[in-house]
Amino acid sequence: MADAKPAPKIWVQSNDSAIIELDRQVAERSVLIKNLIEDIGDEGITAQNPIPIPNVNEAVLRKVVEWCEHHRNDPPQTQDDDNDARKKTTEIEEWDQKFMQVDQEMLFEIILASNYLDIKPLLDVGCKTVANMIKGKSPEEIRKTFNITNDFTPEEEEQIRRENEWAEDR
Amino acid sequence: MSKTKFLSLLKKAARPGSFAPNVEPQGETTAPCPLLELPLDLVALIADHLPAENQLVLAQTCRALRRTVLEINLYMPEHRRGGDFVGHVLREESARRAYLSLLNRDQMNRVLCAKCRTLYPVNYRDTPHTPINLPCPLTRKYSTPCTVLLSNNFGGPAAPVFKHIHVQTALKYVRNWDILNSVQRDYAERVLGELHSTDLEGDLNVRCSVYPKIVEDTAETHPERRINFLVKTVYTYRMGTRPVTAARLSDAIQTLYHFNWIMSKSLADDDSDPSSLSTKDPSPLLHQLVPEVPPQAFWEDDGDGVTGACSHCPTEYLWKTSFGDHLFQTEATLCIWSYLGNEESMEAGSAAKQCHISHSMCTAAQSPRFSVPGSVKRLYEGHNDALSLAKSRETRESQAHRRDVRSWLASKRRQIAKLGGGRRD
Repeated sequence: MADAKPAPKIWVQSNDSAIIELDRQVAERSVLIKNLIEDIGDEGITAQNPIPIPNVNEAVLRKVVEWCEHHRNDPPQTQDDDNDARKKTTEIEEWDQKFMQVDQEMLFEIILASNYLDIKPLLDVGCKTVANMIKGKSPEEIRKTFNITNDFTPEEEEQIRRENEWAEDR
Repeated sequence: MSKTKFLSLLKKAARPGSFAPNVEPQGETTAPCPLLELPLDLVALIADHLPAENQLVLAQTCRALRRTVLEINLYMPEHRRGGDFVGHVLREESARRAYLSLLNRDQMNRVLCAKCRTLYPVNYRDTPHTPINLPCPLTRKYSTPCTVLLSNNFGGPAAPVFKHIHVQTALKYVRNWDILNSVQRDYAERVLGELHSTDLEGDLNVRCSVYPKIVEDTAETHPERRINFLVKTVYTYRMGTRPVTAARLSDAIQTLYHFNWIMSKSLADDDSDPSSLSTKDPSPLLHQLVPEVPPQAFWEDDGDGVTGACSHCPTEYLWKTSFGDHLFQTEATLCIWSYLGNEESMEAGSAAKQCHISHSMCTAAQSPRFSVPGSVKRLYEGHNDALSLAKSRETRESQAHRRDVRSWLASKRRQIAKLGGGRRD
């Protein structure tokens, strides 16, 4: 258990060899790191022997750590109560909204990193942010937003057109 | 578990996702699309946050996303019936409506009726200044059952009639300015055109000017709330057959439906003393004309005039009187700013919540967006005119485009010349 002495530290290393020091409590927002510490004990982790995070680069890792720092005191999410009610709303806390105002590349990197590090609430915020970018847009606008190329064959286009016509005629 | 074993597992787990559909077109390399590079389960997680109609639209963007969205929904218990996700979504009326309005954002020559939710062609002759009763595509009758009036029709001389379809079409056209044809551009400009008219209201001369404007709210992050349709209406009352007095003004104002509703009926009754007006002090007139304060309205005598807001819809006004040395020069101005919606208000119901739909219906709760007094006026006066922004953007873009086309043509010509030369050899 964490004592009242100086907060125990954890070191993590990004794939571009940057070493970041953070409080154990902050690091434990990541279920992956939490399980890892439980398994090997935190004596094994030092500044010389950090936890490698092999597919997250420094910029993204710092961003993720920033989020964890801000949310360090959040109550841990339980597995059961988070399902349906949470899913369909796309409301995001104000701080998180600001946090997510980054370019698309970074946004998707954060989603991938939080998925890998198993930080459910952050993954959730990321997915909601993307969902909000899709909401209220037409197909063409979505393509523009995400730089998607329309690669439908004429037959598929025809099928979509038929579907839409059918939607109109009801 | 030993540390090394764990770390090797960690590295294994870190392998990139296998979902990377081939979307690159032949030849040219395009900028990467990070959305399509996400693993399938993450795309599913994102889609999970979307209502069904948005998922259906997402499925129309490209093959990979279509496959993903349809696949995810195949395993959803509620859509499992025959795997017919599309049919399932469209069976639900509200989802179908939302879906059609999303699709309509791309369709320039069609407009979605807010009531019967049918798409029908834009009638380019039907503008707020020259309204035409369109046949309802459902009933085929020449009536206006489907016309939702977002009336700025406060009454008075020749007020334009803003219908829901005018507002929506203009918003859509301004957003898509660079792909419009000349007829559509002309239509957008006519809808947003000014209108001036003069009339005799009782004993007073009334001039009514209407300035519709689409403003871009740069502070707004939500794309649908970014462009907004607002109207400023200015009524100026001057001496007509008889001089301006409080009572005559109140009579004239009572012909404005909206104000009739907000204002107390018991306005100043004494018509006896026009000399009280010609004093330099505007306060008697102002205070006589201050309407009964409706709940939530604000009143602010900032020396310039009296401002107020309708407590039920995003409409604000400024009431001002100026006094000259002579009775002729006395005039009263009523300036009204009203918000007629954005593209979010496609549904007739939500339009009613957000905008002023004819005086009798002005009972909808005011949009929380405009709960701060003066915000409608600020939005109108303080932000950029979206139409002129779109135009300037377009000229810059079209210049760049023309340059591109010219260089492309030149390179093709060179290629052809080379080929031709090769063949001759």
